[in-house]
Amino acid sequence: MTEDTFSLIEAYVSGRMTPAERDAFEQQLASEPELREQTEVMKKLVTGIRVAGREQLRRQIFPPQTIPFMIRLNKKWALTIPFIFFATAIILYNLIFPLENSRLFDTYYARIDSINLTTPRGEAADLNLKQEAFIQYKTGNYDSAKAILSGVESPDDESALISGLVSIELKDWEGAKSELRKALNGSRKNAATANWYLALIQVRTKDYAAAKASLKELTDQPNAYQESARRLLQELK
Amino acid sequence: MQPPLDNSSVIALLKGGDQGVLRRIYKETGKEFLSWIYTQAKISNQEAEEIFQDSLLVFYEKMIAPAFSLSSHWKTFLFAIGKNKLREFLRRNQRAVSFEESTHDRVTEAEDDIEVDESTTLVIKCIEELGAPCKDLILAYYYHTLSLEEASLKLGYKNANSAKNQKFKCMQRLKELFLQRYRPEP
Repeated sequence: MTEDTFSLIEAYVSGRMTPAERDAFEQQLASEPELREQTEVMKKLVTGIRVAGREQLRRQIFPPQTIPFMIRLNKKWALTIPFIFFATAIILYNLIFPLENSRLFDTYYARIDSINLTTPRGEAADLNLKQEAFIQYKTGNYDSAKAILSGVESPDDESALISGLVSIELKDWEGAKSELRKALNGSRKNAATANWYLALIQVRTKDYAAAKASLKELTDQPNAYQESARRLLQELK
Repeated sequence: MQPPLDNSSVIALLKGGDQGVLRRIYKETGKEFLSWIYTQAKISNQEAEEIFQDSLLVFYEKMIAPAFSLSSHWKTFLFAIGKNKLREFLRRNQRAVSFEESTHDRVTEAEDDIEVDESTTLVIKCIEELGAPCKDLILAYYYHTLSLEEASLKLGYKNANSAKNQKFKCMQRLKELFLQRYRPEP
């Protein structure tokens, strides 16, 4: 392309022609395919130059926008990220603290070896059922123990204690709490045992205030769990 | 305090390559322009700011165009461009377009006629590849519409003829770079 042709195309594309010059050039375009092709390329170049110029001017004139971090993200992420943080915090809390509770529960919990079962009202049949249920508990047949206990005609603190212990093994925490409270409200004989296991379940279920109250009762008077209760109470603090 | 800008001073300063006046317009009309946008459509601060900047750039291009003549106050013209930009934005984002009539509606000739496609992006890359002297010269002439005399003075060429020769060489080089890579869609 000669410099003259270039100047002509350039004047047309960049709008520097008079209307008469433009009309004459457009007639020439209609009859010269090569000129038409060159003009199309020139149009693309000038369009690109205009866009490049516009972007350069934008950078020179306008201060860089300080867009808040959350706005720079799209709306979906703006909602998702706080949710992820929140969910992660909950997951971490539940991962760390239950582990801690489980550790305390696992450290202090041991299945009971013996219970002194009596027949206060001479109900030999109930005594036999309680003894049999306790044997099933000790041998790990917890469902059998439950079934046997359901046959006790006059449930008392002893049957409630065994039932509570069986519920612990079955991880029925609320059932265990309920049974152990019944045992606690019966005779004083099994009260400390019931209270100790109740405290352990309260620790396991993160009911710390109740656990501390139960443990305090145990530390206040001599019983088989007094020392263990004191240590557990210190760890809970 | 600077005197208010009238049409003739805005046009003269912009055509003379004084971009400081554009910066002044940006600062002085920003608040009013953005407040007006918020009365027209519910859009975010960032979106309104982008519309304002785009409007100012189109305003600049219109004001320096060789055959352009301004028939209203420059601020009315800027707001008319803003209205077109806002309408275009709302249409693109599929939002309802409903403007209140105002004095800004009187001017409707402002149009932004650049159509950007893949070839445009390619040209921009080729311009970057050309480097500073060529890039500055072709932007001064084709975008800022400076005459060859003005461009030669601003960019330090010996005279207008020297700038013209250099511009021809730069454009030939740009065309070569572009055609080496351009693959038109069949």
